[in-house]
Amino acid sequence: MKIKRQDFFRSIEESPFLRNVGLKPHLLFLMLMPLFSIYFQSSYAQTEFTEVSFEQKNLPKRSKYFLTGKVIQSESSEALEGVSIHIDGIFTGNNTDAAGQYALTLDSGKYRIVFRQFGKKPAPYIVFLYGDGQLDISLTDRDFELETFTVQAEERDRNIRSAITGVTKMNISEIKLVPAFMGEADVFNVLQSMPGVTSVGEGSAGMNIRGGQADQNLIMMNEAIVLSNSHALGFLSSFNGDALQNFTLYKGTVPSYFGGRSASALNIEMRKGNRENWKGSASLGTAVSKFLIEGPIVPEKTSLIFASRLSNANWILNKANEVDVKNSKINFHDFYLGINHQFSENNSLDFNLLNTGDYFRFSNQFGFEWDNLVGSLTSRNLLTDNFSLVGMAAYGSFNNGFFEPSSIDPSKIENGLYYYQGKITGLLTLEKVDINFGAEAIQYQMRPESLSPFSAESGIAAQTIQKEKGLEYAPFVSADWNPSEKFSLSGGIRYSNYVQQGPDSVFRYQDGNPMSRLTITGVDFIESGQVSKYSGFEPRLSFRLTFDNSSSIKGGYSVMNQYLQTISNATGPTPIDLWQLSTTYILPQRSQNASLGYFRNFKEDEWSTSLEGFYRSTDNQLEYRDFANLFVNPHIETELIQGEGKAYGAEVLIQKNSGGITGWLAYTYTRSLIRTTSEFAEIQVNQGNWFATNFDKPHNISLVTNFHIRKGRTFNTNFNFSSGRPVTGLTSNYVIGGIYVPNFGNRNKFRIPNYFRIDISYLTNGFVRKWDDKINFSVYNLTGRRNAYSVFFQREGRTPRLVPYQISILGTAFPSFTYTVSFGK
Amino acid sequence: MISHTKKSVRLLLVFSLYFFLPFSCIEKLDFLDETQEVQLVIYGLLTDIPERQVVSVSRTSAIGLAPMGVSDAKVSLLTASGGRFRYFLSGFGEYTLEGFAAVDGESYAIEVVLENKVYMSTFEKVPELLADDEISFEFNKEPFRTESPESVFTVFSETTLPNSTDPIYLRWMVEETYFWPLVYLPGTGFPPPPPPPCFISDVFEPNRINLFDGSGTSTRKGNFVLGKRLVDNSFLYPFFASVKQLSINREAYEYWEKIKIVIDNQGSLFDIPPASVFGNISNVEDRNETVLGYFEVAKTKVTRIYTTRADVPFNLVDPCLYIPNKPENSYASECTSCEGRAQGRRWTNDAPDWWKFD
Repeated sequence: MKIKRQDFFRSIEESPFLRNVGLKPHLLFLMLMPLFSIYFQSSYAQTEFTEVSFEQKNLPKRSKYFLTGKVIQSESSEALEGVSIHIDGIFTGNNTDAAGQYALTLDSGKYRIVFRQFGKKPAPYIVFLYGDGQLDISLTDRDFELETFTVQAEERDRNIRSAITGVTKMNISEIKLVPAFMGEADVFNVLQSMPGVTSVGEGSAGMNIRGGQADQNLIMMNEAIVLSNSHALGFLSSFNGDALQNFTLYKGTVPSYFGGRSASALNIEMRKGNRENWKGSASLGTAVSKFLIEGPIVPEKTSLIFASRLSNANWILNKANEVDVKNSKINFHDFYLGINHQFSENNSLDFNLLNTGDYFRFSNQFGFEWDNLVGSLTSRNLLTDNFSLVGMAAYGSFNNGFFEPSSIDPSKIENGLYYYQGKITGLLTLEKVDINFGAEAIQYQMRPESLSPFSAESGIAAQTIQKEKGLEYAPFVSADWNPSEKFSLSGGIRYSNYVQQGPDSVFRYQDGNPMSRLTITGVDFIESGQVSKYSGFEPRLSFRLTFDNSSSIKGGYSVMNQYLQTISNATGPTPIDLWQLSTTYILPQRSQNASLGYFRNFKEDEWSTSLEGFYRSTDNQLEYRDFANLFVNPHIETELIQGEGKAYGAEVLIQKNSGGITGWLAYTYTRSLIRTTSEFAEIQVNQGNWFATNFDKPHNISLVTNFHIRKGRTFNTNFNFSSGRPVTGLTSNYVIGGIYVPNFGNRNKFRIPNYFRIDISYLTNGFVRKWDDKINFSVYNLTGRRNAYSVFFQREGRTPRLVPYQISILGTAFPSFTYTVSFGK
Repeated sequence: MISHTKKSVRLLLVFSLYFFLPFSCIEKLDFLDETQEVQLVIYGLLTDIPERQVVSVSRTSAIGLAPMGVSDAKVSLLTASGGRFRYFLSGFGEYTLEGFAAVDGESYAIEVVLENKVYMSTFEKVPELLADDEISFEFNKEPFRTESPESVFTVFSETTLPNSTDPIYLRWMVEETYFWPLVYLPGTGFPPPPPPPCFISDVFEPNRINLFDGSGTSTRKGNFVLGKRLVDNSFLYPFFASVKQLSINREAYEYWEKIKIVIDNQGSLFDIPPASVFGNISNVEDRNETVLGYFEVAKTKVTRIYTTRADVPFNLVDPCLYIPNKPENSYASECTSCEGRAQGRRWTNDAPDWWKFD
């Protein structure tokens, strides 16, 4: 049975009116977007169904029959777990199991059954069930060739069904539709358009999730920790969109099998290589070039995927009029290698390797360079029908450097760390309870930090200091209990432990005085063994209460400890913040998180809406003291002060999941405050009063709109507004002893101007009919607004007074064009 | 397909125009509207040599404007033993105590009464250690205020710390005093007496803060650049550099370290972020009121060195050479008046007591 397709655009293009007035359909389309929206809402849901009939034949007829089958991935024949089964437009609560199998008991009759999984084309059937039947299904990947885009229903109602609050999940297909810098499909870019996720400023590394600091997010690739995760001053993430499968962000309650950070967890799943055919793609862009190849090394057994990305943006900088920009340089790369071996249906082994590197120099003023390597080996074993075991071993290495190639004493500072991570997780699936349990351990070793002259003429004296090492380990257990369709509960506990290990030099300080370089009374050198130890229970709990098929309330509470933090006192946010382990004097962070949300979908999940509130309090949040000197400092505790942090706010999301126009509107109100809690008034920041953190940006609005024009063509926009971030500003000047001294106000007392940006992208098929080629044209910061990146102070001419200046890293529109050709089947 | 391609190319061309929009990455920012705070600034230095001890009292004004002196304050020096000495107003916001010398090991504080509010410093103890400075100078061609080489006069110190385990914190200030004769115009008739010469004094490189922390080092000797200035016609006649070594306590040292960070901020992203520098003076009744400045006590040693024109390896031009028949009013004011030459700097017609040279 076929249902007639709507082809709105063809009719528009062929309109005599348009031909008469000479108006191009695309322009008209842009002008009439709102009307189109209404049109598409009414014309949505035109789908082809396949009719299938089962009859009892010679057997006696019954009132109920069984419908069973298996769902596999069309390309790889791999069993698909978690495919949702919708009957007559309603999710039945049935999903396929780990072997891709399902079983339904239905009254005899006619049913509209749709098999859906996010990232796959749905498989719609009209089933005449008048006898037991077996219906095996194969799903294919979605490639946006439909006229109307549909976020699959399993995902559309995930906001209602998922037991855990504050989860954002997306796959690469959705990510690609958000216009991004350099035209690159980017996880971080998409996340920053979602509610609750912001960044300190344009070009700043990391994300701030629900008022949390960037280092409070646990960022993982296939559950292996990735510490350095951005390119190009944070404009892009280090994860190549072509090799990315999906991501899951836990910004509310983080399950107990994740830990080590105090705000959120983001797990990015990378793709496995195709197990049947070799295929790939090559992209040439104005700013980035890419290459991807995947295929079977041993057919049906071992597959490989390799993806690389190289920047080629320097020619754009050379075109700039501004001398400083012209003299700047930006290079980055990332390589991803994934090898998957399937020993048997139930046992597989994955090897993942990610290497990223960046070099950025802004004129002769400053520069960064860093490289990052993360490799992991993951074994997945289904031991019985309801028990599986996943083991993972990973290694990470991060080298970091920044330099000042100035004319006077050019210098370079280098530091970094490496770590070994091991994790074992068991999953026991019972009738109404899923139990996760296991343990995780991470051994961190900080690299020595060094200051060295950047040129032969520099007068800087070389200096190196040793840094700490520590072991973090935690057993965990969690359970998801689903007693009924209406209610589910997810709870868990993690007991995290941390041991700082020798060697280390522990300084002693005068009693009754704040720790300072000048109050050191001695030093204890601990060659090996335990230097300091911390531990704590981390309960996690969340619930979901569903009222009907389209609305639910979810809430959660969690406690999380963090033993590895970043510290920075740079005037602006930089990607090279210093990682610091907990020590005798630097206590671990401990946060308590609570969130509550109401979720409601409309029109059979065509529209999703949510309203969530959250509150987090953090003990021992690190802040730098006034005039802190953090680098190459053997007693870093003298430059730091700890305090309590609090973040709270509310998020609203209105998302349209299907139709000719999809997208979302997200608004977040969030505050992020801190106060230092030292017993010594002289080192308190802002007199010990609450003050806004660097990333306290109360209002954040983003509107992402995807116009699905015709086959393979989408036009996408991204509007982004946020409050200006806090900065420390000059309030006056004064003179003491003949010296003209600028007087700065309290820390973060002022705010830089509000941030506003519009991006657009146009994705379309390529020029050559016989090729599988695609074009991505995008413009980042369409209006060319000069959003502030950072504020600094400099003397104006020869006058003694300091004046504030703002740096805009991208003070203009940044267009990019990428041409991609895919090859192979 | 062709039509499709054309449309894509057209779109590309239109949007590529943005590519040629000018980049502009650094712009001045203005917090002026938000920064209308006024703070009291009190700064005093008390030394152990019998000299004119000064406390300045002022209020901050908007960014860029010079602070305003406060002339209606009552300023007193307090000793830990209960003594009280009154400072007297000697200028716009400047209060002086003539001929007083602090005593080693004694503690002092200042009290400022203004508009019925009492501001008081903590008691600061006079350090007991001093270092020995051996002063030298050099004339060189080197980049100074610009990137091209300029004629620069540099004052050095080779400092020897005392043999003591007690910590010592040093700060140096350098002051110049040079001789400047006014042009002698004999005129017609009975020749008038020659005009008295000018002795003009100023702080060398006012924004340079010379600090040394002798507490954490076993090294007893150090070489320091204490000040630099451009070589100009001030060096035509004897030129004295007076190096004042101030041995201060740890708190004062930390205060000056912070001031140094604030004024040395060059705007690099890696500069230590600026912050307010709080001192040791507060409102007795309202500790939350921000009071800027510091009261420091110092054991002091002054060392001097001089140079004459014979030492200067550069060509110097005397702008005040007498030219017969040249009208008096055609000489620059610096040739005919000390005030004209000093241009706001301190000057006197009397040679200082220490003005002795070979």
